[in-house]
Amino acid sequence: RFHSQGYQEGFAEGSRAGVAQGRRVGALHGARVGAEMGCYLGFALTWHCLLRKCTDEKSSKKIKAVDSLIGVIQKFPYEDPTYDKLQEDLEKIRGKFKQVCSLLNIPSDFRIGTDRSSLTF
Amino acid sequence: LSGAESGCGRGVPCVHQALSHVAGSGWTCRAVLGDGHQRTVRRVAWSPCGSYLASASFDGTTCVWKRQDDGFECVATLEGHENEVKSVAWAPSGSLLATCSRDKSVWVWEVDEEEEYECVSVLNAHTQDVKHVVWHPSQELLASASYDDTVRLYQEEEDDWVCCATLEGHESTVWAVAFEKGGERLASVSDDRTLRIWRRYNPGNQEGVACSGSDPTWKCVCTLSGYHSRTIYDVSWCHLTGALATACGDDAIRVFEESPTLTLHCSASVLRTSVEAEPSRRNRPRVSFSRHMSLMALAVFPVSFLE
Repeated sequence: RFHSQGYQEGFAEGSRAGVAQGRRVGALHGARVGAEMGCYLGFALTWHCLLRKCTDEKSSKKIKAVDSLIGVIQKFPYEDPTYDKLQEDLEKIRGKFKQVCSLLNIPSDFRIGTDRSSLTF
Repeated sequence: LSGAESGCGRGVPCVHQALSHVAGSGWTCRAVLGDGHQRTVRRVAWSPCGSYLASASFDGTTCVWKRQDDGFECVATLEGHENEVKSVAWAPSGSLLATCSRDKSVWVWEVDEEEEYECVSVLNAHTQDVKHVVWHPSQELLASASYDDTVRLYQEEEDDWVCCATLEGHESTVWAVAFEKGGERLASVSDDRTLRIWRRYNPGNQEGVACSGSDPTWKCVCTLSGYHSRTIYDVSWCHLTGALATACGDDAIRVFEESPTLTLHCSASVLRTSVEAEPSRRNRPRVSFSRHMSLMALAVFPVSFLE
């Protein structure tokens, strides 16, 4: 009897600790994804402003790509961690970001010069 | 390294050209392009027009060289991959280039009339190192092979490149892929020692293969097991004769041909190989056909089925 009581108490204690840890891990991971996507969004919005006034054909391709990146970031369902295409869409955003960096001739880790630290998530 | 293209391990692409027209005479090295890359050059590919050479390197870059009268000039360096570029391939139109890398991504580049290259898409569909990319012989359809055991297909849909099919079935790294001349079939080879043939089924096909919406489905229609005793690294599908050649870690090259009598809608069968398959091995050579063709195949061959 004491054995099963002990087990139940231990299980309940473990569950509580598990939920707390799960919440921490989830928050950490969510924050990481949020920071990454937020970075891409800020980057894209800035370039949208910078390129807005350019009318030449080369720039119009760049603007189109930047706007496409903004679109795909804003369309992402941030409130739904059970979204079935979550990883797939995040990878699409990362790919789009890399493509935009390539068009703008910017290294995607923002490393310019060898002594600066690079951007990682 | 495939038979048609080769790269050197010293970080230098070599270009060889025939010395004279006398039959059986040798080759001369016409150019050494030693300054383009800082690490192993893994693959080279001629453009369809023959004026350009693309080189993919472990230094993470892909160089495009233009043939001049006195040699080759580097006209573009495509950067962006995070690490080793494993393969490069030109689309049949000559205006698109595809690269793939250990960074798990496939990049599609477009070249315009002014020889400017720009990245049109970065595709992160694979979950591991991508070993090989190859274009469909006549359409702008791209195939890639990966350490994640899959072959993926990509095409442009509504202004963006997407992964339109994933071919699952191999049990280990897929090292190479080759399209048949007509482009309705694809061959893949793997570390799992099998050569697989896949066929495209369009919506409304007469074999009754289900398709989702207006997209074609690719099904594995034939698996050749027991012929190779080690990893198969490369495959080439002859566009003239229809023969398939494989390059294997067991030091052999094998040539597979299709029987003209076994037509059906399963079109791949192996009756002859140029190298005798060793008879006393654990796995006797097998040809297996996908489930929906089972009845037809059974009458002709003793076959075993793979799920």
